[in-house]
Amino acid sequence: MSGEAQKPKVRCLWHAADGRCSNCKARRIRNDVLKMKDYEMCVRERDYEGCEFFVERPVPPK
Amino acid sequence: MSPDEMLELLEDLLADDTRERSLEELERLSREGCADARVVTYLIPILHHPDAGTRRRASWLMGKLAQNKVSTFWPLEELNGLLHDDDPEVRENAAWAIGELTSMKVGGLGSIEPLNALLADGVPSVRGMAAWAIGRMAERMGLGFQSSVGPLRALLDDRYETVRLSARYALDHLMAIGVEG
Repeated sequence: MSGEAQKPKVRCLWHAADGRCSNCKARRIRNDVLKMKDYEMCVRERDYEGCEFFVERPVPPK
Repeated sequence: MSPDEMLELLEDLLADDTRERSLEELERLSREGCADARVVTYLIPILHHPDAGTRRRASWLMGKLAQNKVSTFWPLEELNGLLHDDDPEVRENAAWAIGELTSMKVGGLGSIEPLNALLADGVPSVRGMAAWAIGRMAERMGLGFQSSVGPLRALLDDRYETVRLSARYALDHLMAIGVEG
């Protein structure tokens, strides 16, 4: 729930390689509060913009 | 993992030089559905660690183990105490754990007033999680106080959508059990 929503959302820290959301708290709120039943998979185009649990994944140093 | 290996991992939690590695492994295991009740017991002293990062990890594990429906003697007073922690992520994790525990009908009225106080927290994720936890206590356990209603109504105008919707969720479930302002 960061207030910093200005930057383009490229890759979420919680977005697992298999497409699932690995943020257990985010999944719970999405199920109960946002009424997204059976929510598990995260789709960048669909979910990133409205997700307040988004955290930009750090770029590993080269 | 054998019971003896788990015990060794848990004893690693208690030593400064092995704690980080132990927490990392316990996070991995809990994401895979670990429901070993001993983990809860061993985490209790770590919830008071002076380092906020360590308390965040320990409190997150409490929430995840509650989500995994670990059956044990849950330290509710410890979790209520964490709702006053200096670190916002620890407060959020404590509210999350309290909300998750309601799935097993574990909880008590002693959580409600500290959760009410978090409805005015300066950090939106804390406000939202506190509202959700109050809603869960009403929904799953039929517990709620009228004192939650006013602060929750105030959150219906919060600048963050998830906070507003969490407050709506809580108010709907409080109303369903007859708690209204």
